[in-house]
Amino acid sequence: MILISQPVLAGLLLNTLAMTGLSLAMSKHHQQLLSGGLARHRAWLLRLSASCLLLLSLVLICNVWGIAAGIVLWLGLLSVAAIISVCLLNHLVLRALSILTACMLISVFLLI
Amino acid sequence: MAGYDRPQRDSNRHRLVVKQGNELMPAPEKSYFRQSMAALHTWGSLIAGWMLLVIFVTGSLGVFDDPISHWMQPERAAILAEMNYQPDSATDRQAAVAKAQAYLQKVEPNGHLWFATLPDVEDPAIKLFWQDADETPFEARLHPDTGELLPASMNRDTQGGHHFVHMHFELHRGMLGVWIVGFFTLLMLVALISGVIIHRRIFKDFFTFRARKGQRSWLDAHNASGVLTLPFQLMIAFTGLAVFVSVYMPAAIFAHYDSPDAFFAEVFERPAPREMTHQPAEITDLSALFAKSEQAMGKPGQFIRVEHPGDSSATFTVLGLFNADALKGRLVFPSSGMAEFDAVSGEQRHIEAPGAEPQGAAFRTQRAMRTLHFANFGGDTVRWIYFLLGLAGAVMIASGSILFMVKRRQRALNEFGKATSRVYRTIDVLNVAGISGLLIACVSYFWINRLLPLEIAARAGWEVGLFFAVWLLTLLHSAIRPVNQAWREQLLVFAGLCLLLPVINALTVGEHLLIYLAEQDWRAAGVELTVIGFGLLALKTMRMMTKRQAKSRSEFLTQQAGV
Repeated sequence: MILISQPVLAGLLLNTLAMTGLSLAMSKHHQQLLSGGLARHRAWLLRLSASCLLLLSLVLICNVWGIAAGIVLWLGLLSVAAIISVCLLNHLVLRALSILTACMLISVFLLI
Repeated sequence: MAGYDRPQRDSNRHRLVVKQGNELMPAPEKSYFRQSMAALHTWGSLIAGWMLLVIFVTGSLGVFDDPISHWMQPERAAILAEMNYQPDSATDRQAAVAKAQAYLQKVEPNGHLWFATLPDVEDPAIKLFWQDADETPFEARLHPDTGELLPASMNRDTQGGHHFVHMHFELHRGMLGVWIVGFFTLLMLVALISGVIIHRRIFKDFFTFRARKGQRSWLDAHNASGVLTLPFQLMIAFTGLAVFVSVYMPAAIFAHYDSPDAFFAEVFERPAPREMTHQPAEITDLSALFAKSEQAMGKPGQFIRVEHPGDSSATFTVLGLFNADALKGRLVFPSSGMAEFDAVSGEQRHIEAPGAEPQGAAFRTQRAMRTLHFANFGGDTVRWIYFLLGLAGAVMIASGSILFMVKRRQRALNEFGKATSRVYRTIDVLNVAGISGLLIACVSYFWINRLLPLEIAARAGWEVGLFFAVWLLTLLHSAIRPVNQAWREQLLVFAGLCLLLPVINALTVGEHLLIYLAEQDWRAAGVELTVIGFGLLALKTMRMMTKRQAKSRSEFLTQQAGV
């Protein structure tokens, strides 16, 4: 499975999902992407699921890389993911491009 | 920084003060604290910014020093293809040690130090480094089969990617450079912490970036690149200081040990270097000793070292191959093996088995921080992450320096009285040369590597010298051109140098991206693709600048017409 053979890629994708989820839990960015009001329970649902994803990627990476290097790597991927989600929020072309890149990466790594 | 302090919040605070019934009561201390932190952040970072940018850009490039050296020495491939030397063969390795000894015996029989790296699958030459009695350094590369000095046509004498690493930690100035870099790293930590204190909306603006909004966008870029990568920036600055902790904080060593040598001997659990006796003595056959030490270590040796050859105190040390990529996921590396002998009598002084763990909590902590800083605990994955986050740090620094002037171009703050415009002009000039000029100098280094004739003496030194010369030229250029033109022209030159690098590579050594890809030479292809990526980014930045300037000009004209 891709999650196990490519923990770094999986961690990056999960972290990106989580960071985008966290940004959607803020009404300003929710408006930007989904142009609707943000209900309270939805914000908390987004935060909760984002936290679960972050925890999942942390466990996944630490399983393969060990706790010390795993945490460092996870933090690094978190920063990269945050940069990606900021770009996604603000740039329509990048939004489309990143989805295409993610699809390509996943399919390439599935083939390997 | 006014950009951080929202006016309505400040006025709220004032109202609060007034309500308490004392109009003369000074603003709360917290605000003074914030203001003083803001001043510290603005002026401290302005002064440190240009040097920090050098450290960050060259440090990020230095992460890939091996692939860069690989790209910069295409002649290696020809030697690798024709050589009989087998890195796996013990006899070949012993023969290489004998060749190194014969050469060094000839050129520097009584030097301070000999050091040699044996050929491997990446670099086929026997690489020699030695110091004469006055500790002046020399280098040479020998053919692995003949032991002769490689002719210029087979040897592109260059520092390769190490040039960037040396710029990063010592600015090519030895110990003085280490101190300068350490001082500015400390300022980096000050800037990071004061920046966090004065940033009032870290969480609210966490994901915010407003493009095409002038000053607002620069502030957003500065905040986002700093906040989103803050763990990395704090870690890299702190571990950078920790790497040289024994240099920056030597007091404890001097208080407890006779010399730093004694301290290092104790923490590394190795015998201390011996004092010179000034009794001449002949060195024994090193290749036989090398065979003995490989047997004792139980693994192949990769590096050899002789301390004061020709003296009766001479020692011979063999170090095993260090392969960080095989130790993926470890922050404290075990020993890669070491054996030390008396180089005259051949008597064994010390054996360190490969795999031995470093001892002592403090020492292990320092080793872990060193590994964190050197980015070699997780192969290319970790290197790419460090490269990207290091560049994010560079963006943070550069956008901060640019923001300083963008703000003051809107409305001069007259901090320097009559001299204000001259100081602003100086900052503008240094910004252009320090940001786009530095980038031009870095990519020019690759061009110089291809264009400089192979035969000239001290070629590696020329490459570095020309790197600085190009950088100086960009400073001259930015000093004589108006600031907007200077930015545009330098970005254009940078983009051109990046995008044409494969062309000059093809014209000079007949290699380029497509050949690298066809040969599956990912390291060289990666270098060239990254350079091209930088070129495209520069073009994009230039287009944005041109649009922005056209817009502000038309706004200005409409305003004039309205009046």
